[in-house]
Amino acid sequence: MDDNKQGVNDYLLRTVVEQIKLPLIHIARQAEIAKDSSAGVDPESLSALSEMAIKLIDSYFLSLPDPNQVKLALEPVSLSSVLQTAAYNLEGMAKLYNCEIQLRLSGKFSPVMSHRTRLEAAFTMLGFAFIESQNQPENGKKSQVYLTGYKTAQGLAGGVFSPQLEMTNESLKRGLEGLGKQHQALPELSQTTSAGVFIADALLDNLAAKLRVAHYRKLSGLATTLLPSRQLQLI
Amino acid sequence: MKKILLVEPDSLLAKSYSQYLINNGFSVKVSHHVQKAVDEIDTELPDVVILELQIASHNGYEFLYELRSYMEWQDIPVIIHTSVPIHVSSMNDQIMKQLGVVSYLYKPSTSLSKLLYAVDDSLTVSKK
Repeated sequence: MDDNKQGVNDYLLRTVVEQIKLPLIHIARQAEIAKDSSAGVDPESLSALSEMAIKLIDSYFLSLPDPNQVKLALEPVSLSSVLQTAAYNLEGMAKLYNCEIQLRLSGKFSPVMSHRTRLEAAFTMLGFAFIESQNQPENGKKSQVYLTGYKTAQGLAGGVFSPQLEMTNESLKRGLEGLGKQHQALPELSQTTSAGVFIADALLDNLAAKLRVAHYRKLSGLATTLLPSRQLQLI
Repeated sequence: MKKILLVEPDSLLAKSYSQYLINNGFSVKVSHHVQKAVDEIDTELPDVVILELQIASHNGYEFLYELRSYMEWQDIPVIIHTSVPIHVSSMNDQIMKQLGVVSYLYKPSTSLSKLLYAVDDSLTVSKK
């Protein structure tokens, strides 16, 4: 592996380590409250926090290049089912953060050439970054995060959107370039290190796809465009 | 009852901290972002502010400078309670003194009881 790639991986690891502190702080403080009062620890919240920490670690490992594999083998993948799995993965965290995950699929899609596990991990990580950064609406309602698939002139787009995101492609680019150099790399999105976005970017990079700022109806988000599998279209 | 304004962007952490402080006899208001924090202080002056420096779209330092720019808010003690280790922050003793920061607590290694101690301490200091 060349030095530059190794440096990027080291920065990514540092960002992931910083991010993992957050669920651990939650768990530690909840345990402290339980110890000091008669209230027990909420098992649902512990489960959601620890599951997400595990997913963060697994997704980081998936984003690393496999030294035994020169090129990743792509396969026909259904974008709608990938988004559905990501939504399912995010349910526990969403509930904890009083957030509602909405799955929006505009039409029926042909399969795309991709890698199911990595694509699911990328959307799960993006969703995770969005959920924890949502401001709670003042009226006591839930905040909303949308997992969306839609057709574009170039192919099929899949992404994570919210009514709150105020980010441009310029600020995303600046943030991604600042990997490992700043404690709060994407301040327009989140107060954290935004490890989920960096992992998603690395995973999509493995799939020769690019993360970009996108708009869908009145929502802004981070999305990628995937090419439909032409072979399967002919069958 | 002493009033605390907790400026904490993570809603889940805010819930844990406020629950603990309420259990220990404080009245706690939570702001997840800077503008709401300014509005809260404008509505009711807190006895102490607990502040996370990393806030989406804003930055805790700017909030601190804004807080100290108003004469009537200059004496509110501020406890920084943040995920940013002090050695990578731009805080030093001189800036902390200048901005009325009474404690700098690194969140991952600050237990709730340590936070409570810092709050009690800040109220004692502000009384003197």
